[in-house]
Amino acid sequence: MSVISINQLKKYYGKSRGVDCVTFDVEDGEIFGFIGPNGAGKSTAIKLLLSLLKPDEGSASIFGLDIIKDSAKIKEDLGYVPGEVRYYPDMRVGQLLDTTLRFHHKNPSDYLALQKELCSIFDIDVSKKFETLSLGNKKKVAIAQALIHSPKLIILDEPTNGLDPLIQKYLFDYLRKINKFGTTILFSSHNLAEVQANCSRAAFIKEGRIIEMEDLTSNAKSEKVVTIILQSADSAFLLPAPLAQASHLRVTGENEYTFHYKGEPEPLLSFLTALSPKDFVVENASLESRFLSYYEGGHTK
Amino acid sequence: MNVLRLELHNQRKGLLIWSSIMFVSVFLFMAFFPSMGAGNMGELLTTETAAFSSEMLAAFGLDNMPDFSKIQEFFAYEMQYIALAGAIYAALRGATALIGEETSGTIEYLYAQPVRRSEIFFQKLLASGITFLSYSAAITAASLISLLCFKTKDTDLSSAAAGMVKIMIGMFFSGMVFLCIGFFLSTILKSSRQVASTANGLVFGTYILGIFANAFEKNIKGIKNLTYLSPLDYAMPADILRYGFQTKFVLLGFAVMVISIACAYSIYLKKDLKS
Repeated sequence: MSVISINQLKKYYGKSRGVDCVTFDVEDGEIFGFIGPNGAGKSTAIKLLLSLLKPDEGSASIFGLDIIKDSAKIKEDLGYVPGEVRYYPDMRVGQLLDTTLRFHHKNPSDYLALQKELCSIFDIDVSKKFETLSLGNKKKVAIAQALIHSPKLIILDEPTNGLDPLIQKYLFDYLRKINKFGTTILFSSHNLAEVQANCSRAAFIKEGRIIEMEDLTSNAKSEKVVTIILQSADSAFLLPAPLAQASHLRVTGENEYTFHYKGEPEPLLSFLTALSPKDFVVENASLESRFLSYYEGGHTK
Repeated sequence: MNVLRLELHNQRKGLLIWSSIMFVSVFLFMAFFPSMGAGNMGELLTTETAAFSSEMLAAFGLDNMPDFSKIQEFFAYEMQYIALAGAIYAALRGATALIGEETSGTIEYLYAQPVRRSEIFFQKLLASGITFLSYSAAITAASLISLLCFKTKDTDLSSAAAGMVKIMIGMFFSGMVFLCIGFFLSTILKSSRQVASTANGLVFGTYILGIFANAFEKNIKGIKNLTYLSPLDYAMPADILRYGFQTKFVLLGFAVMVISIACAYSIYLKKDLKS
């Protein structure tokens, strides 16, 4: 069952593009990564989901409810960490967490244990005023306020920006823990390693459009990245036409080419033998290699 | 009512500053009354201002020369300037209500909570109204305390207090008109940096229009109608003391409030978060 279902969402800021016909689903209990370079449309898509922006076209639902009409109802069970955290400067952290709970019709005194746990994990001082916090500490408060009411869905926009590696680890440990109890998580990130380590699927967004959905489960890790250095440019025309399962061919150096291969090893080995290259490397495809293949140079899928 | 609570919390410092300053101002203004009421100060003023043109006198609110020996008339004169300050506060309060949080970015927190835009709108409006009511209550308290402090032997306390309260209701009413217009402006301003100049422009612009209309009403036919564009003229303290509230201005004031709120509401519901 889909917790988030996005259908052809389109948003332009005047003439400049936000997102263009974005479509994807996030399944119940999934940790879903949203990947793309700056300005690709990740934050716009997230803001549309939260009804912070109104779409020009298309529709989306969360928990089966319309994101525009049922926005307030959806947010009862949704926690959100913004990319840029701007909360009330003269409010103390404890007051902010209590206010968030009251907005969710929950009594702060019933959540003292959770507040204590979150503040302990993320090293948050509830007595501090928000304006006195550093960028990283503001982010930690944003994470705590998104988690404090135990939502069923958490949307995080670049949550690790400004966090030190230890807190990043604690964050993902905690997210994986609550995910085991059924919380669905969608987060955008530039950090491909954290997406690969934590997500079951990821969507790549480029210039406002979803260009690829990646299955990051072990099943999908059979994809290889083949780097090949040819004897001369003359044989380049052969690349990688004989292989039906090859994709993302790129020129990466002088007579050096890289492509992705997903399939049985025999056809690949036969192909490489026939080509008799100067050198070649075959390695498991990482998310980073796929990211580079999508965003660096031409996308030749 | 979480938005209301949050909004009142955010407005409390501004309210405290404005109320304190105006409380002291009212008190200091009224401290002049014993010297104005005693002796021949009133007569002297009448004689000295006789040389002024009627337009000039109208501009300073002296066209129907107040009797400064009566505390409520002195208060009414003083209050036209206090009301001007109150109108600026109300316009600022209204104009900041929505754009303030959009500019600072804190609105993203509110929008991410399970609360409808319409609730945010009306609770912010209510909070602004409550804040301005509290401000008006502080000024009323200052007026009544100063009445007790500076009354003369001849002062009829109950009628003077009743007159003062009536004037304060008028100040609150015209302030609310400015607050609602400010609230509408808050939906169309691009940044809170524009709020101060817009609110001041709105209040002083319409006030001067009212002065102009009153000053030249005898010379230019129909110019008096410009007072309809000046919310401060809907409840001028001296007029309220003499004639009470005028139905046409009360109705017009309410109409301006309703139209401003309706326009603001329709714009606000369609607004995107500023990126």
